[in-house]
Amino acid sequence: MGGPMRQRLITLRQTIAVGQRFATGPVMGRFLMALREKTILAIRCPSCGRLQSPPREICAPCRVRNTEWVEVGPGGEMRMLEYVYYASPDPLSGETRETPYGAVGILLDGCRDEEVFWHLLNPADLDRVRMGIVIGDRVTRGSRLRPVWADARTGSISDIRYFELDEPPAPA
Amino acid sequence: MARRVGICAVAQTTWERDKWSQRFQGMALEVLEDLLARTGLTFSEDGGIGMSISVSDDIFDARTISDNAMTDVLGAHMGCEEKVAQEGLQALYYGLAAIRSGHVDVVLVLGHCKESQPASRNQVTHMAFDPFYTRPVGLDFTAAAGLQAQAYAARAGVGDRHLAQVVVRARQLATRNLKITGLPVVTAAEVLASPLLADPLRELHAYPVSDGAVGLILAAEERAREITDRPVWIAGVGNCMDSFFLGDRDLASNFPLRQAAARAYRRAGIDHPQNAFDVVELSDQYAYQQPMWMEGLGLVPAGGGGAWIDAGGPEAARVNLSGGMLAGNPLILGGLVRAAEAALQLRGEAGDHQVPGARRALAHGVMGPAGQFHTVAVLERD
Repeated sequence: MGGPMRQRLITLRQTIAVGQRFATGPVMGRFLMALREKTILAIRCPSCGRLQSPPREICAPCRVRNTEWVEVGPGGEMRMLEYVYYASPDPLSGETRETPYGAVGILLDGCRDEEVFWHLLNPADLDRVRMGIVIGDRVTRGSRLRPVWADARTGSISDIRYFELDEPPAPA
Repeated sequence: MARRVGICAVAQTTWERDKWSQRFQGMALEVLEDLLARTGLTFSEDGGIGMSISVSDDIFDARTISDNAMTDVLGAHMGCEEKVAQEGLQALYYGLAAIRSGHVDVVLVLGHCKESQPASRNQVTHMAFDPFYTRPVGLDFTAAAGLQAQAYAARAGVGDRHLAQVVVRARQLATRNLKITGLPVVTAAEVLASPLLADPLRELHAYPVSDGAVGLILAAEERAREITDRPVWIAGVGNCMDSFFLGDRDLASNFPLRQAAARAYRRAGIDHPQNAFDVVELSDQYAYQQPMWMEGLGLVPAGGGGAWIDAGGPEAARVNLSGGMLAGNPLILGGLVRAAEAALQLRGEAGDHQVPGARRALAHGVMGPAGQFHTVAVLERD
């Protein structure tokens, strides 16, 4: 394309921000307050018995309010791991997390089936863990993980810094 | 002949300045459980609610696809879930279409909004403007309303004194509406002395920042009669969208509202709207809008807004006996709450502000800067 066209084309940069103050309500509030005390809570459906963590007000398939609180974990078995090689910068701070990072699905002790809790994996453990896989009768146990708690806890999901490997190193 | 559609039940939370102890899912759940208790409905594929329509706004809720937070709450898991991101009265129109088409028999409509969540609702409506031309020059819905108020007031003989009267009345009526809490009555002197927001709009002319949720159950005629003995029929709905750029519009013309109203009246078979309604619920986000929208609806002569207020018109025409938006409903829900309040009147459930024997009502919703988009619904009972 020639010079005259280029002179009419520019790009515009903007950062969009609207400050927010979110209410937690009683269910999310209780879960986050428990994290401050280094406790992970789940909530049980009174109809089907399944657990949700983080807890939500409703069991969607049963369309009833969840009622019973139970403590789960804090340790569990790694079921899923995703290595993520890119990092989206925070639009306001411009900061990016270190890559690659591991997003992990953990079956916390006391949970079963698809009752998986999502968090981050200790970057140092990225190449040392194995996923738990269930294919019919074939069950491969995943690595044992435990939470590493933040020193200053405020009532947020980041009160757990990440989960780390919690088993002896494999024999040489 | 298409099927008639009835409103079978309505429910709403209280409307408060700051529901800090509830997240929006909690507010919505309160309304859903109220509706299910009133109707005995379930989400069964056999005769239950066949479609859930949520009303929410991505920027107010601070997430894209804001209905993702609502699917579970609205019983829509593995079901038919829809979202209206614009003005809530549009969801009623959407539900009407779904039922009249024969696709479903029973529809849940449920809207929520927390204006207290963003640092300022003006920041949210600022985002509705063009990012390159009109955001950088400081426009939001309040500033746009100021422009429209200026253009309208001169044409209709509406002055500061009239606007104070509108606000004083709305605040007094709000004390009779059990769903409005924590909103003080004000005197005309207080309104006249309240600080300017955007000339000629004063702080007390603006609808109060509000949190809450509202819901309706709609059903095809035969199902509606099974669900309730007092269905409220949706006789006609019309809407109209004006230009996005304020410079393309005559802000005082009321053009889109006149169009929306004409469409609704035609569909409802109303030739003479002036005496057609026992109750009018309109979305007065700012005080000047009450007389202006009445003109646009054809219920007050064009240019006669000031004289109408002087003659006690709002009381005589039974306009916004609920308190209206000036008593506090959030932006995207104004029209849906108006429909709910109108339905309560026609069901004889409006409590201390009931109009005895009300048979036909008008509900109005508005969205966009300076009344860009209007929806008008005509509701009737047997």
